[in-house]
Amino acid sequence: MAAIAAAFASACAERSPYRIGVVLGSEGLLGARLAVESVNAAGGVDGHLLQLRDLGGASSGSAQVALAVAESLATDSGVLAVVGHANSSASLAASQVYNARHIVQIAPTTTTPLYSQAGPYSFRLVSSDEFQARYLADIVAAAKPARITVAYVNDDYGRALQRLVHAELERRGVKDVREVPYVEEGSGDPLELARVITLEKPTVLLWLGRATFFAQIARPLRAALPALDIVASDGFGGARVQGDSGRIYGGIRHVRLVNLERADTALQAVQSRYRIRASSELTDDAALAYDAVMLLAQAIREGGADRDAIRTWMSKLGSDHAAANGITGPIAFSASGDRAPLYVLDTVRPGAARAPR
Amino acid sequence: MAFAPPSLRRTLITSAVIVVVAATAASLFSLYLTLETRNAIDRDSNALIDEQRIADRIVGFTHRQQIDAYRILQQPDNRDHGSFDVNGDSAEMQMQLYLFRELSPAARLQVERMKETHQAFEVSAHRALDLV
Repeated sequence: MAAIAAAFASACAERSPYRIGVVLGSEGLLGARLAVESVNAAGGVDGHLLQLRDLGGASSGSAQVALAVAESLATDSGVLAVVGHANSSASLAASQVYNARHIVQIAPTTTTPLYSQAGPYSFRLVSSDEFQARYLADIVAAAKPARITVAYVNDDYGRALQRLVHAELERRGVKDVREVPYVEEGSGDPLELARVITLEKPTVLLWLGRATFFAQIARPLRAALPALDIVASDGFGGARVQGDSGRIYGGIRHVRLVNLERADTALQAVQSRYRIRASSELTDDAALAYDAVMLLAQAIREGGADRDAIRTWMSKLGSDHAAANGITGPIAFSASGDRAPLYVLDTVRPGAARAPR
Repeated sequence: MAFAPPSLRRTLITSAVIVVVAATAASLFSLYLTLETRNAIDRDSNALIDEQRIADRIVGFTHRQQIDAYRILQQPDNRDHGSFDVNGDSAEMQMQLYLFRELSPAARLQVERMKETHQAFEVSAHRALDLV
């Protein structure tokens, strides 16, 4: 068996590999690598091995880094498509470079509504925040809070989601809502933000931002407002939250874009492989990155190893072609390159880190 | 059988026809080039005017934000807070509209930096205005 696999790998190696650019955080990158291993173990794509080109820079939300990485990937004629970037601001900034160079970009976790207008080469594996705003507003309104503070990161992700949530809360008759913007990079001051939120004395905090920044305000905020009910948007997830002992993120309810509790053998197999490699549970970012790479492998196989052929195939997914079966569920795109909405409300269990399932 | 040489009259007529056809073709080509050049200039001018309009709107909306901030400092009013955010959203939308256009990498980076600076400015303004 091993000899057959070795012979096959050797045959594949004779053909030039197909390359996919990736601009993902560490969890997404591992998910993408697992997908490449799956594809190559099954013989590659039409006898060509699949390779990832990772230039790093995914951890930065700065447009400068996003544009530089996008230019490098888009001008490399060997790169057939790109999976990334790691957040909405970076994805949106880079999208114009990819569209100008006619290269498909699959943004696995980008939710900002503007991405729907980015261009014909822009696709994403999640839906627009128009739907998440309604979901969040329903959760907050159901709690009937006395005072709400909405803290949002003032970038393409947070400000767009905040405006939509604001409208949805108003529609539900929720009053006494205070809005507090912040920036993460440069002039962002976590302690100042904690002070401002504390002064508002909210009973519910709606956090429209990322978990890493919240970690910096968690201690003073919890000390000042121990009974504060915190609800967070999808930007909150990740291994850091899943692996938390409860000290920082305990009790926080947050939106997830993927249901990883589904009974699905393919999903369970990836979860098991991820657990071995990362010593932690599969995250949404990793699962979506896995699906993005698997989808591109299918697009190259069925559409052709050409940037425009990949785009044409992707644009017909769910209409001319049947929806693809991903570990995150069926994948099909609307005319604007979006996927149907799916949200799961998860709670970070206080007191203990999550045991591997 | 011997061929008779063309008469002088026939030669003159043929030459005249050739000259007229060549002159007409040259005129048409010249007209085509002129129209093409004019269209290209129109396209470039329109693009420039569009860009200038967007830039004017961005400046206009950010100026209005500054006026809103000034009003809040003079006399705190929630309506001015709302107006500050609405004008900020309009400025951001115009910047995104600009970014959706074809731009050189340097120009794109410049506008992206402007957007980030504007976002940081808004946060600073919110903090300062909330203190009033």
